[in-house]
Amino acid sequence: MSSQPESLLRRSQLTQWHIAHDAVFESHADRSVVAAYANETVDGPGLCDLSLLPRTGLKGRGAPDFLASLVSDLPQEPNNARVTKDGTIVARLSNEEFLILGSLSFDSQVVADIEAAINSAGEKAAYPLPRADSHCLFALVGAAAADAMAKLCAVDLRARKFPPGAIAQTSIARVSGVVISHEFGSRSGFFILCDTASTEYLWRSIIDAIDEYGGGAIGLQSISTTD
Amino acid sequence: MTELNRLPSSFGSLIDHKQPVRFQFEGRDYNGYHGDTIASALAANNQWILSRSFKYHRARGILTMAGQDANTLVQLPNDPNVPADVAPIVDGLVVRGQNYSGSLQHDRNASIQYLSRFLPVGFYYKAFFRPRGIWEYWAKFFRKKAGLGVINEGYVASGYDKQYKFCDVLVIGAGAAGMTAAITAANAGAEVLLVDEQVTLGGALNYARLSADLSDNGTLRENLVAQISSHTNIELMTKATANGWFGDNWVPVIQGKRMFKVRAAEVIMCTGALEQLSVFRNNDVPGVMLAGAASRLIRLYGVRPGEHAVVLTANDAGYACALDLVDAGVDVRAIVDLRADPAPTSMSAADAISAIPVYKNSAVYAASESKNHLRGVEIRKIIASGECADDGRLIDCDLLCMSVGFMPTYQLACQAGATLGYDNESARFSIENLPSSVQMGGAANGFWNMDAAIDDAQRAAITATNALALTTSPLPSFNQEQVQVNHDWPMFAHPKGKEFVDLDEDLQLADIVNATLDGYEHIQLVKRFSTCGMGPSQGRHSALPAARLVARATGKTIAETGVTTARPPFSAESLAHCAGQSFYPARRSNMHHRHLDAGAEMLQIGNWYRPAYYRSSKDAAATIEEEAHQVRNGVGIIDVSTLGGIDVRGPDAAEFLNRMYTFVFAKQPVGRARYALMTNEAGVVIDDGVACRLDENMFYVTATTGGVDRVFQSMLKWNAQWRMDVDIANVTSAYCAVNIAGPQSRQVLQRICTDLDLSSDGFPYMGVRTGRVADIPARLLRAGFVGELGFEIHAPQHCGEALWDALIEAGKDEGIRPFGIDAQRLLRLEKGHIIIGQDTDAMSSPAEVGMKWAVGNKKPFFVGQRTIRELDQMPAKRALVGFEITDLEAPLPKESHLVVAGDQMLGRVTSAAYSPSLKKTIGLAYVAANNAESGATIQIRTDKQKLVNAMVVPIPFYDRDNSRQEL
Amino acid sequence: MKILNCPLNGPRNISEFTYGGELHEMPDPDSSGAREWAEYVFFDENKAGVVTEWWCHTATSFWFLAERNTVTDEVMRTFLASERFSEANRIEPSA
Repeated sequence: MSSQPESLLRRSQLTQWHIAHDAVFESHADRSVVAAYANETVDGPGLCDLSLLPRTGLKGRGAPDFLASLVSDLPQEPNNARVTKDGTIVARLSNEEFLILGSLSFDSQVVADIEAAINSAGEKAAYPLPRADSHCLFALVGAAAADAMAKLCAVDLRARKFPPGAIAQTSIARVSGVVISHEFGSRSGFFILCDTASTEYLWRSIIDAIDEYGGGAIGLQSISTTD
Repeated sequence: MTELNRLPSSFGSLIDHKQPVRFQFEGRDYNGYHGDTIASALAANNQWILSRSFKYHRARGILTMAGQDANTLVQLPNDPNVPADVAPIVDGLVVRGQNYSGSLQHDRNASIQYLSRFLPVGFYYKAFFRPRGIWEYWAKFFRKKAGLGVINEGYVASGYDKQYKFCDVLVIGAGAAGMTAAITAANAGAEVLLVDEQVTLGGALNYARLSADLSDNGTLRENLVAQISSHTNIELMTKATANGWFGDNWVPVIQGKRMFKVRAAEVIMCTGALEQLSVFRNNDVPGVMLAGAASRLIRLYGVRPGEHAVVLTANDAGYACALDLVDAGVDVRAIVDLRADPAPTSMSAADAISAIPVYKNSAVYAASESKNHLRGVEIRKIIASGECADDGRLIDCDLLCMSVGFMPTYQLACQAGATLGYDNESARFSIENLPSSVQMGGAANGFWNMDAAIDDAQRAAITATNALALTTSPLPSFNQEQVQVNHDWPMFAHPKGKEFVDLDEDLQLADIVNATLDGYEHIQLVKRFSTCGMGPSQGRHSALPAARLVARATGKTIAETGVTTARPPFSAESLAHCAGQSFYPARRSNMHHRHLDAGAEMLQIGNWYRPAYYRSSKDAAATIEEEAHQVRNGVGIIDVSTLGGIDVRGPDAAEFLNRMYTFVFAKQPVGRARYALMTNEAGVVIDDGVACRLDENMFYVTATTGGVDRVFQSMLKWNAQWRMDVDIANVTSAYCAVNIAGPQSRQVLQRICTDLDLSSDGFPYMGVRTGRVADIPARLLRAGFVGELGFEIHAPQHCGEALWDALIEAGKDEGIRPFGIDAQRLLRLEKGHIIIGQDTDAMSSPAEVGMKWAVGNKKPFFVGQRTIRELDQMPAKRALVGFEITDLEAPLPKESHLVVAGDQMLGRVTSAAYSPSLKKTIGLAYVAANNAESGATIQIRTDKQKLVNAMVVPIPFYDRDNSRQEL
Repeated sequence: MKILNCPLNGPRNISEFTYGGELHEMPDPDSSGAREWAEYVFFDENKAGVVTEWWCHTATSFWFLAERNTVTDEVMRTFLASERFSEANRIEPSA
């Protein structure tokens, strides 16, 4: 099922880039996401724009307890992420701050439920953070992803030092960002977030970095089918 | 063309005799083989001159065959100063010599050397000291005579970049020691990166003779290489130079067009040692080379280095070289041994060289040349240290091989903080005081015996793996007996000079001594005065003789004298490598592509792309005027997403803002916005914005585009100390923002914002609301930056494009049009609003910029309060005022033009523009405090010193009672 | 490039951090003399030896304190600001 992203309220900053690269879009509720690119043949690391994936954040002294009441098995240490049974990624960015990424199926209610719970519980529970808009979100998937990222990022992201669940909040191509190590089915890779205003810049920087390794842009289908 | 000096295919491990390569040198075609360097291929063709020296234009040729000297620097079309003894040949390569006038063979500038006695050390300093300016005049002539290669200014470097690399153990140098260290560490479980400059592993094992009959060489190299290439824990990089050592084991490794920034937990330096020169008259003539260079030519490249040779030595390496020469069919006419009574070794007593006459306790006193090549040497008996007998013996030869000592490759170690010690007995420098995470091994550590070098490398590796907690092994003990390889004074002065200590800089023995006599006794001063060690080889061969000469001349020990600091880079590094790939972060709002579609002329301000104006059929100035006119008379929209936004929430939110900003916020009603001015502790204005109270405990504070990151950081830093119950979140990127402004803005917005009462009573000036615009959740603010009725709409970033589209659509009937920051700057100037950073500087207090009204003096505390209180006690020096110029013929003042009174500078213009709505020039300027009253006249010095009179007027310039924005 | 150990993010290149100056104890803004106040605002002790400094991990805007030897450039330790500024001794300007 395809739909035109420009008819919807929420649009990735990369919409024009996707269109220029012959993207085929698919609809998920009120969003339109790249399913695949025409002639998408990527041998190396694949970069997927997930900027419209539902996500949220919360922080504050009460945040850990509050979130624990909604999600089981929170990561105990900062800079660690857990994947819940339904595919939600719960990332602990500091003692008092969490980032929650909805599952890649785009149909998870968890994010909406958490946001609703925060709004009804009030500020004493936790302060909501507008993570769906403050940051863009990419997935970089494939064996050479860490080597390619070494052209942009000074943190050792190879699995040996950065296993699934590890988080690095660092500088990527000179912008501040968050890298979360994640297993996409059988393939290793990363979620990468940086401030939304830098979406196009970071996208182009990563596309350039992975080109050497035979990488390129991929749609959501390439990630979902890796399971 | 036959290659005169090419040896049979049993020689030359690096070249492929089946793959010929054709290239050009100095306009002539030459043949070589794949694997040849430029220098080896030329040597095979009997072409020995490669360059002309820096100062005297003397002919120079092969010295080290290892890229460690300036003798072989040649010019490639896009690349000057390429070391010909390591640069490979490729088909069609065009190579030229450097630094000559005429031809390499006949350099007209070579006559300079006959003037050398008129060019003493420090000549330029002494001769061009006075009169002032004389050096600038002459310098351009000297530059032409003395120099290196030529830069191709049309060449654009591309494809250079950088990459981070990580390992447990970085091993630098892949000789026997380096390979051993790498294997030992990898076996212990360490992730090892092994780096070597050369094309192949093995270092000296590739060309050096371990025993007279080569039997000891055996399969040592092959065994080590096999282990390395099959080891999963070892990553190998050849043709890769570890070019420096920086803090916490941060090592740039350059390979091809990429600089790898390697971070290692432990570094093991097995960097070997550099063979040193003997200093005697004409020791620089082509044909005079290090023994290692001759062996490399024979073993690696299959090139016979000469026909008739003499070997000058003080150790076994010279005898090993003699054996190589004999192997290659060279007629070795003499071995000159500096040592008085060398004990025979299996090498020196080898049968193959037993017939060669050995002159003990003798030196090469001078070399002679003909047609720019060695013709013979004069051998004399040594009668005292550095002194020879009055007469000697002449031997005809075209090759002299020297091996009189070694210098550990100390550069990286010293960058890591190690120091050099000198042992008089062994006459060598050694590396001491290494930091705990850096090890040395092998010859670099002074172990010449191959077994000891390998044992030492194992010790270094185990030390490293112990430190990594991979092993807890005891360090191996081994036979540390020293082999004497250095002669303590292989330098012999000659009455006619030309005994070169530093070949790069053409420095002779007397130059170094004379520098000390001129009073420059410290080795660092000797370097700067004489330029010794400043050339491309950075003292690789001059540091040791200079230390000895300065020590003897000043009566100090060599250890005390030392060597000069060896800073990175280790070898020449191109600017393209340093620059790498350029990363220029660029920030865009979600409306970016709409601006492009609308013909925006984009500017990059800080990292943000912003429309300056939207191109029309008119010129820029008229277009900007039109955009401003539309805002004043109709409705316009501007993308203000770059505006900073910070959410401040929690029970202490109002009190926190009270402390951070000068104004008072405690009693600010919900639904209202208030101007917020921030000062630092010095009472200087550093940012401004508005604080919107969305709820009792929730403020949304805007900050300037360029200031928000600093403001946010500063808020967090203060609260790290105050520990107030408040949450501070930078939400700048979470919100896009559009300002819809103009008398018709309300009617346009009303069409797509139906859940809010937008009337002046329902949503008054400086009111704040949350609602929906075109079904997008938004924070709305009635602010007046441009001085008209207007609404700032802050909405989720990813809805930016949809919001923009909806506003353009809604305002179709009113002729809504976007305006850029140029129009906005004009509009705000008409309103007299200051821009922090443009109209303020690092000294601006609130009083100076007319902001006393925004300072809450009754509050107990805010950052900067105490200082402002002090400043208020002092007489004001200057004031920011509005000015106008009604004479439209007068030149337009620009930012930073001075406000003057005669010769006195009283202030400067910070903003100025012609206002089309007011039909006069208006601006803001700092003026003297005693001349800041309205009606006062100020003088502005504009371009070309033209003075313009302006009158101080009250601000705002436009709509003085602010009725329009409060509609 | 030096490595600095961030209490939140672990060892990172020093280029990931913003220097925040020496830690100064703020004198009472109401009762301190002008000279004392000026020294606080404008002067660093700049001593040769161990100083306590503010550092901020830029990507996370996380402020912490570091004890650094200005002679050897060795960072002795890094620690949370709460160690110096606990809830109990929260700086309370005279109200």
